[in-house]
Amino acid sequence: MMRRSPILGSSALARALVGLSVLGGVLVASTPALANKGAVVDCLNAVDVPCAEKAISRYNIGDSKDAELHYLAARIAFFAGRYLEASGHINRAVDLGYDDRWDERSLYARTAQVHQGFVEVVRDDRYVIRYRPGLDAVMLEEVFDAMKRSEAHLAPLLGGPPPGRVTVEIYPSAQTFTEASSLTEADVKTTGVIALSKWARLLLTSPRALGRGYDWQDTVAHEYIHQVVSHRTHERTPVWLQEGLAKYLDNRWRDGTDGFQLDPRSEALLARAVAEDTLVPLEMMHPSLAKLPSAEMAALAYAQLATLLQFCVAQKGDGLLVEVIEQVDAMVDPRIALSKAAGFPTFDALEQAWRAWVQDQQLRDRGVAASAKALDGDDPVAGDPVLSQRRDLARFLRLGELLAQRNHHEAALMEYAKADTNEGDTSPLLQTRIAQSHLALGDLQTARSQLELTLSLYPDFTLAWRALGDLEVEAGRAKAAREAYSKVVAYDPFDADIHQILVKLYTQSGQAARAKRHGEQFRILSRGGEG
Amino acid sequence: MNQPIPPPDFEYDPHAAIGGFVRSLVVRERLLLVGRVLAQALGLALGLALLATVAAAFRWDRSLSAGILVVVGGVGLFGLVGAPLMIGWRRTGDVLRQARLVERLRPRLEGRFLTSVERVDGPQGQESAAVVHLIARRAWERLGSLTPGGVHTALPLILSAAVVVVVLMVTLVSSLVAPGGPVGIWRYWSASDAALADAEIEEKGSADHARVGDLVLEYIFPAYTGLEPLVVSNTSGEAHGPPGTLVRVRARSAATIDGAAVVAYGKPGVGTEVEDGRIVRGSFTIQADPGTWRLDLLTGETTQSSRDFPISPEPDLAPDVIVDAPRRLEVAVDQPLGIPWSVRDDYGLTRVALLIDGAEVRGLRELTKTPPDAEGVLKISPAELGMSPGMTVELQVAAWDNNGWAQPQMGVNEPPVTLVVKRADDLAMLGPAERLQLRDLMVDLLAEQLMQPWPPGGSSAAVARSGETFDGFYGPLDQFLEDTPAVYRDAMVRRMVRRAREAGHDFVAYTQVNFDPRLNDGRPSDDLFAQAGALRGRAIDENEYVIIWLDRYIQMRALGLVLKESEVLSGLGKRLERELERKASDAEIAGAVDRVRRSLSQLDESLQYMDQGGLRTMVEGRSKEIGLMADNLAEAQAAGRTDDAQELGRRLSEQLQELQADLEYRMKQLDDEEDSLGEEIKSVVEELKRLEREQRQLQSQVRQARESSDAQGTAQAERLWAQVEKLASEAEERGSRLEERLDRAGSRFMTRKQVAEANRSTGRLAESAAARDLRKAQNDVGDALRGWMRVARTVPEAERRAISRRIEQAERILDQLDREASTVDPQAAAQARAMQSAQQELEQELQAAKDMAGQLAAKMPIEPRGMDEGLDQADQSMGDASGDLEAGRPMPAEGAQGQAAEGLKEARESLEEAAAQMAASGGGARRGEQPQEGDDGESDGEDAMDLEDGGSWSAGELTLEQEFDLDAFQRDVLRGSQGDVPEAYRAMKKRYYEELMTQ
Repeated sequence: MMRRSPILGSSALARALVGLSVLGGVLVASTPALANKGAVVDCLNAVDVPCAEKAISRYNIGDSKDAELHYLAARIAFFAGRYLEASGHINRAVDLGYDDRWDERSLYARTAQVHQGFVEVVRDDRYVIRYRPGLDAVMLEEVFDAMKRSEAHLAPLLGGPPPGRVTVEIYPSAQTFTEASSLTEADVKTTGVIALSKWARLLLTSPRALGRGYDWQDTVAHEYIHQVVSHRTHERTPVWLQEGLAKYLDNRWRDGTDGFQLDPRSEALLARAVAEDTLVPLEMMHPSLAKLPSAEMAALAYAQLATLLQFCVAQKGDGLLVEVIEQVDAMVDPRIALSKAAGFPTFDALEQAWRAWVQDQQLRDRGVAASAKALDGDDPVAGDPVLSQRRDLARFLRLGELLAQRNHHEAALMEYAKADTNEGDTSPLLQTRIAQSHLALGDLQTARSQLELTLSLYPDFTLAWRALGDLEVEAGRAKAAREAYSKVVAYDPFDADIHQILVKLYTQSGQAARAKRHGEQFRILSRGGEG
Repeated sequence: MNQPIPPPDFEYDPHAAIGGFVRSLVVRERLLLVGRVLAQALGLALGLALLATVAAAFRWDRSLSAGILVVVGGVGLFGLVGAPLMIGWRRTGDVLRQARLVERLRPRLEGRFLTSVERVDGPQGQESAAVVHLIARRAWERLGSLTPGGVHTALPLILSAAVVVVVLMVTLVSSLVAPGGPVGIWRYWSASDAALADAEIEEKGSADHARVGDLVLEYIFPAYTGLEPLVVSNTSGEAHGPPGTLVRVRARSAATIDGAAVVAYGKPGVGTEVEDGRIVRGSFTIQADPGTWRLDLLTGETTQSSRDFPISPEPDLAPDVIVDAPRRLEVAVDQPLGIPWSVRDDYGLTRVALLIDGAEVRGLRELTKTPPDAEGVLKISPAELGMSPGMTVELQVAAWDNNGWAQPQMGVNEPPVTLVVKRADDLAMLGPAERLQLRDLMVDLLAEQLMQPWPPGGSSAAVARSGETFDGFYGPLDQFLEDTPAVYRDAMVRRMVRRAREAGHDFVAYTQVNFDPRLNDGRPSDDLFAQAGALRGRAIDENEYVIIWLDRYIQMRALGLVLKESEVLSGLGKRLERELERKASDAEIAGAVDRVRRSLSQLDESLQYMDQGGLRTMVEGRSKEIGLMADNLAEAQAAGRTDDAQELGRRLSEQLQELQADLEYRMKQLDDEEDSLGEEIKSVVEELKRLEREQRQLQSQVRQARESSDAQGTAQAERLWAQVEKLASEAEERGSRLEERLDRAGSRFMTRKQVAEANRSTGRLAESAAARDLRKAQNDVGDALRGWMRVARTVPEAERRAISRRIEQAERILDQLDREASTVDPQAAAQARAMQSAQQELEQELQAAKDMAGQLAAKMPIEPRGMDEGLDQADQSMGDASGDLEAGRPMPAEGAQGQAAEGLKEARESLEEAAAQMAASGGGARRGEQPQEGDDGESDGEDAMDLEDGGSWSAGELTLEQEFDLDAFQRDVLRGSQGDVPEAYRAMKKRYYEELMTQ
């Protein structure tokens, strides 16, 4: 399972999901000769590595000529994060005649290559982070925190955590992430996939690989939910239900409180579909979302699924979740499992009730464009959903930026006005630049309204949070400034300047622990790592 | 009780006498007043005549003189006639005033006269009639012998008359002594300019010389000037023209003569003829020096000469040569000079050559058609001229004119360019910091332009001042360019900056030419105002365009630097790894780590030139990580933890190589994106080309159909078109000559600009006529006429009229063509209608192409300027063509089709130019920072991505081949062709290359 940011939205993603599912399925189904080794397979399907290792320990693999056995050993090692070992076993399996139809050998080799130089940090003998020493160390404490809290607040909702260790791997670039995930960079760019729950690991792209970061702690929780659901249902949960659950629950990791809210883009899609009566029939999503004909429809489907789960939980409470998972694990049709648990006789009845409910939600369509991803050094415009498609307008933005850099803010506003066509969706980058120039000219009121508008539409737009922090400092509102800057590091923890500002702000407010933590992060970023 | 006093018995009635006396006073004074006013009026008239005489005598400007006369006459009439009459007439009728005057002359009246006059009709109120009578009687008695003449003397009238007489005398004398006498004065005021000149000549002649008039000079200019013969009637006799000009004289003698001779430069000419005893015909040739000519008239035995008329030769000037290079230029020995030059002559050029230290070293052009101007770029390198580093020479471009009468004259650029030849390594090129500085200056300039209020106000002066201020905005940029010769060596940057500068200059020049800074009142015409606004907008647009280009260029160059540094680091990483493997000494390891650190510093420095963005952030982060790892390695090595050090060294090496790989990967992605965009551009270009081709084919089919179905009408139309073309060409040619004359005469800048603009319109008319484009020709003819109308009274009227007449004639013929186009042969009309569907199909395809082009433009980092305008023109013209075809009017349809094809061509060329600019600022720029074997950086960039004249991105300049010997030229082209370009452009590059090599 994977996490994309902020929403899923393309057929390429669907294809990627299908590919991964097929790959996972094949890893199981392609071993008919290993029927006697079914316990190993079962354990791996349950994302239970200790169980699999125990099951295989009965065999003497070293001198074995059994290709399937080496293949299983390779998989277990791969799940456990021993990539060189996994690579050795699969090579041996292929040599012994294993038909590597899905090219797993190169996946293992690539992963081993990518992990060269990675280090592993273990906390409480339960939580593991693998990462490459360097700037990513700035995230460690926060990732551990997200893992622990997810286990504390989310796993119980789903029936309990998987055994063994919870592992997060942080990949420093989109390129390393794609190499280790078997996805392509095109998949990543077009679908926005930035994290993955697979092979008993949570694979995470470092926020520094994206132009303005992303909500990486929420993403850890999101992927963790997938892992728990996979474990509890032995990989029997279809993608639509997996994504519905994860999307609906991933906000609860901090304290267990249900703060689910559709992001503005999903809300807009759903609002439009409700108004135009173009909702995707839930039946179309089963068993796979890959059948959906367009990226926009897939994005709409995800929004529907999250609200469907929200609706179901609203009917029967959180207990419904465990009930559904257990039913799915018992091989009940997930649609029936969900309908019954929510108190509806059929899936159609559930859908009808949900449709009626969603129409009452007063959803808003506010001109929010689909997110764009800037990866591994893309220019800032690449991360803007509007201007990345309109390079002609981006030229005026650039002129404005150059003027603003030279403190010609009034002239900059004139160029920004040329880029602002007032047609179609709102560009968050442009609006933020406009706000920054107003701020520089001392017009705090206009700057604030501009930023508030931007953030209401694009709450993950880091630059706008930063500008808001600057504005609050200017306005002498330290608390609001701290909150805005904290949002920045929640998306992009690699800006040393922000940590430095936060040290000062927290010191001023007497919050020594927080000041200390940001001080540590500042030092890591200044030095290039933990040293 | 009061008894009334009976009236005394008088012998006469004193009241009646006094009344009569007073009336006679009034009458007299009024008569005197009228007389005086008449005298003053006469004096005024004579004064005006005197003034007119003076004006004629001194040949004042007649308009001015007339103005003065009117003003003086008006004021004088009021002051000397109107006002005295109005005021005096009333005063003279005031009997009390008359009485007071009398009282003043006869003090002993002691008020009785005044009292009596007040009571001339009898006592007032309760006054005693007897007493009143008594007073009147005594007053009358004491009046004595006083007569009206005693009260109102005629002295003022006499004085006025005397003044009149004096003025009359002066006027008469003046008119007699004035040139030409009264007749001359009369002619001055009544005749045309030419008649006036005649009068002058006759007068001059009348004194001591033979009297001649009706002078007509016909100029036959030397063949090399290419000028048409010119006849000037009623001249003053002064002859002027280039040396070698044959001047044919025709004059009329005042008296009958027997023979005559034209004497020029003191020597009589041959072949002078006399017709009808009074008409003299002869000729002389203008020499290089000034002189005089005259007519010697023979009557019987007597020879009488006319006065001398001046001969003013207009020398054929040597060509002007302009070389666009600083006074002192440092160049690398193997670097093409890249110096643009332009030459211009008043009549024509025959050749251009390159001089080094005054000696010709290489011919640049042989101009058999003797054009008036030529230009090019010196692309030859010092090495090819046999120079070596360390040499300093004087470089000049020389041009020879086509003077066939005397010796061809040579012009050179002055002062010469001092060329300092250096080794390539010794030359400072435009560095990244200077590029940033240049960009910042242009950004500052943009800010000032944007913030300047527009419109600046309603008056002409406000616009003129605004232009002046606008010009001042460029000051810092100009200063930077002057202070930074390295800009000159970066041909691409130089060209782009010049582009922005010239656009600014156009606006400023327009404001200074068309708006008078002294006129604070009155709004300029809307047309002028709109044009000024458009030029200002263009100046800003160009600046924006160049900033975006420069910014991209800077970013790509900086990226190239960073990539280069990463390559170095990668190499250092591998070396470090090898040294660790072979267990090198601590000192060697420390040295290797130091080298990594130093190189990292270089990398960080290069990053400073990149804009804050994702890539910079990424590389900065990596750099910090690598730096920390190097520190850890050094620590481990120092602490003797050899295994740790080896592991760290291995990881460090990996990271360094990974950094390079990542950057290469990003480069590849950028190239892929450019390639992909290039493919799209190519696709749209091909589509536009196809549409253009098909539009021209359809145009040709329409023409053929028209010609075949209506041969007679076609032939007639062709004749008419030929006439229009001829008339327009003649008008343009005359306009060009007029432009040159005005240039030579140093006429006002504004006048010259207006004439140039009018002549451009005339040229467009000639082009439209050549293209047989009726609709456009009808538009152009109006523009041309308005243009020439605008210069009325600022250029010689005869010449302006001659041009306007031709254009008006062309207009009439165009009207006729329009009428004939409407009454087309039915068969031809039917055929035209049949072709409408094909035209509509093209229109629909154009819509699809426009959509494609619009989507493409939205993705391009460099704006394809002019593309939209070209497509709009094509769209509009296709619509017109379709309408004409539907209406069965093939002739205007053909014109519209031609316009549509031209619009498509313009759009395509805009797209190609933008693609070339993209390539120049993108991939080419990245390569430019990494000199490789056979790659000389800047110059290759230019060769590979030549941008001049609208955008091929092929090697070399298509117009410059004559400057090279074939080998050198081909070498350049080959070298240019070796430069890489994105895949999408390779086919085009290959094509251009092949075209070049086969020329």
